[in-house]
Order: sequence, then structure tokens, then C-alpha cells
Amino acid sequence: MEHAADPVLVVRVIRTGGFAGLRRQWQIEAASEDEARRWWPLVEACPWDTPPGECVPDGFVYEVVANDRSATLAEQQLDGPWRDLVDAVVERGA
Amino acid sequence: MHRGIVPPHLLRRIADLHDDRFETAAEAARRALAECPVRPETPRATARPGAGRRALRREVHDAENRTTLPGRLVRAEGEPATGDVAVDEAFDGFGATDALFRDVFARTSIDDAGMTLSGTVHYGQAYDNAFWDGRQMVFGDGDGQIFGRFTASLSVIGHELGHGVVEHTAGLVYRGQSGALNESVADVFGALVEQYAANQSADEATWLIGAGLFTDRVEGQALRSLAEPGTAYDDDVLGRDPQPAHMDDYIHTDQDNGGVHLNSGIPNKAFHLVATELGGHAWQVAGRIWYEALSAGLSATATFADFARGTVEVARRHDAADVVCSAWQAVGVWSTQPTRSSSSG
Ligand SMILES: [Zn+2]
Repeated sequence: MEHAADPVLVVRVIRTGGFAGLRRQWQIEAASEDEARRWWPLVEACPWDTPPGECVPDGFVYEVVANDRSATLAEQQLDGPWRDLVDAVVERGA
Repeated sequence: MHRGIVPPHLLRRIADLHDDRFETAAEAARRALAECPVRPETPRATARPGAGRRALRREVHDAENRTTLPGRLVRAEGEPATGDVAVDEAFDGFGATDALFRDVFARTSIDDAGMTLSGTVHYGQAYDNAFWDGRQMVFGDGDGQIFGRFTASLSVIGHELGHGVVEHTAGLVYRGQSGALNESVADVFGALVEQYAANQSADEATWLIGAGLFTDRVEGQALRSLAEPGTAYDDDVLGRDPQPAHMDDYIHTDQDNGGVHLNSGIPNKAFHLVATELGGHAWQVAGRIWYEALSAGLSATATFADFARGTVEVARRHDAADVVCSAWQAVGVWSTQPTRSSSSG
């Protein structure tokens, strides 16, 4: 498997903006190769070249980082694979 | 030089009265104003025929915890309370916000053409936010741990509707300083809506935005304070309110569209200084200065200093230029006295 050699996968979601302007952060760290393999499909499914979208006033802004890839997304862009990845990280990451 | 003892701002309010009972007084005020050595009033955007008379129209929808907008219509204008607290708070809050804009700023709804005030409650699941999507307001129920429902504070409803007004006037770009200005003006409107509804003077007001949104597990009274930016909350989990109140502490960041919810503390403080220095009801002079500066040709990419210049221009017509000027200096937007008109030193 292509990424089986990667020792660790870190996926971080930073949410800023929103009416409150509060910064929240969630992160998962896949320590073992087995664990990383479960996350890779979610990461690979995302279009990482998505340009940042225009934010509506008080909409959340998401910064998603997976190892060396990153993207900044307006809340309204969190659809499909992005939504799946972010929801999974928010659910699992403390 | 002033001929009468009635200050120009009061004359202007009388002149603007469209009420048969006061027609004589209004006519006299218009004559007096014509003689005043002040700039002519900026033409109002209310020139559309009949716009001033279009009645308030409200619609509240229920997203039923999904994220599809607008959701199911649950209360329209003329319909009785539903018993759903969020629905009725939104409905009443739209009414209170419309009252400020209509009575004080002679503005007919968000677009000044009587558009329906539309909002959706119960958006998403445990959704910790409220926003303006360009067409309507959206309110979450909160997660119940940090936040309760976002309709609980009238200042939040006024803030979201305020974004609508900003979009239909200066259209301030939601990034960097113009974005922080957009946020600040929305906060100012939010605070004024609450003060107008409670008939509070600047001294009596809390100047808080989002009071009552936090659950009692959070150490904090509100999300922001216009009186003392940076003091609204200080909590183990959430940390401390990060808002600056002076340009020396301006936060440079890529997050939050360049810190629009952070740096808004600076113009927020300037407004609070003007309102408390002038005293009385903040919406009467301070609020009108801010509203007129926003709606009289302000650039979409305006900086704090651009807006400050605009407010001083308008304040001259309200005999408040010095107070406004000092406020912008106090928050560091101007380090020195800006160029003034040659009138009186
Ligand atoms: Zn806002």
C-alpha cells in the first residue's frame, strides 16, 4: 500500500470565526500503520487544491491540515469528503 | 456660527418628521436648517417611492436540526406566538431591530426597500453559531454545554440584521480592517437595538454583546464588551476574551478572516467613548453618526481611519466632531489631530 510506510498521520482541524470568534482545535494522530490506513481514504478523498471560499458574515472558517497538506475552507464549502473528514476528526479528536 | 438655540441635529430630526401634527414645526425646522452654516444633508437612500411606508414583514423558519435553508415556515407576520421559544424570540427580535432602524434611522428594513426579515432557527445539531447568509439570518440551538440558543440575546439578533444593513450600504469586505469594521458596526447596531428596546441611556446600558448565551458552566458574562473589550469572559476552557481596545494591540492573523471578530474591539471602544461622552440615548446622536457614516459613500475596503474620517465629517453636522475625533485618538486610530476644517481652531 502506497502510504503504509508513513509512520504517523496527523490530521488537525482549526475552526475560527463564527459569531463568537472563538478558536477551536481538534486533532487525531494515527500512531500505528493500521490506524493510519483507516484515515487515509478520508484524507485522499478531499480536493486539497480547493481555493479558500468567501465567508459569509459570522460563518465559521476551517483550516484543515493532514501532514504536509492543508486547505482553508469557508463553512459553506464543507461538503462531501471535506465534511466527512472534518466530522470524523471533530468526533475523535479531543 | 449658530443662530438658534436648537442644535442642528435636533432641527434635522424635526425637519424629518412626516406627521401632519408637526408639519408647521417641521417646515420651520427645514427653513432654519437651510440657513445653517452646515453641509447639506447627504441624500437618503430612501428615495424610492412608497418605501418609507412599507410595513414590517417577518418570517421565521424551522430547520428542524438540519442545515437546509430556509426550512419550514413556522411564523409569518400577523400570526400569534408559536410557543417555541427560539421562534418567538427571533420574531420579536426582528421587530425590535426593525423599530430601531425605522424610527431612528428612517430605514425601511435591511435593504431600505421593505424586504421581508427572514430567519431560520434550530439550524443544525448542537450548532454553536448564528450568521447572516446574504439573504437571511440563521440561528443555532447551541451545544448546551458552552452555548445555549443564539436567539436568547437581542444583541445577537440585532447584530445579524446589522450585517444585512452593512451589506446593503457600504458592503464592507469581510476581511482585515474592513471586515473588523463590518463586525464592529454589527456589534454597535446589536447594542443599540437592545438599548432602544429597553429605553436605556448610555450610562445604564451593559454594552455587552451576547449576554446570556453562555451556559452557567462558563466563566463569562457575554461574548464581547464594547465598554471594555477583552473582559467579556475569562474561562478555564475557552480562555480569555482576546479583543484589543487600542491600535497598539491590533492582532495580525490569517485566522478568522484576519481577526475580524478580534480587532472589532478597537472601533467598538471608539463608539462606546463617543456615546458615553455625549450621554443620553446612544442611538440619538452617536448611533446616527455611525449609521450616516456607514451609508454615505463609505468604501467597501475602508480602513478604521477611513471610517473615522467619515464619522467626523458627519459629526460636524451633529455638533459632535470634537468628541468623535477624541474617541478615535483614544483608541489609537489617529495618533494626532487630523486636518480640520478652518472654522474654529
Ligand atoms: Zn458578525
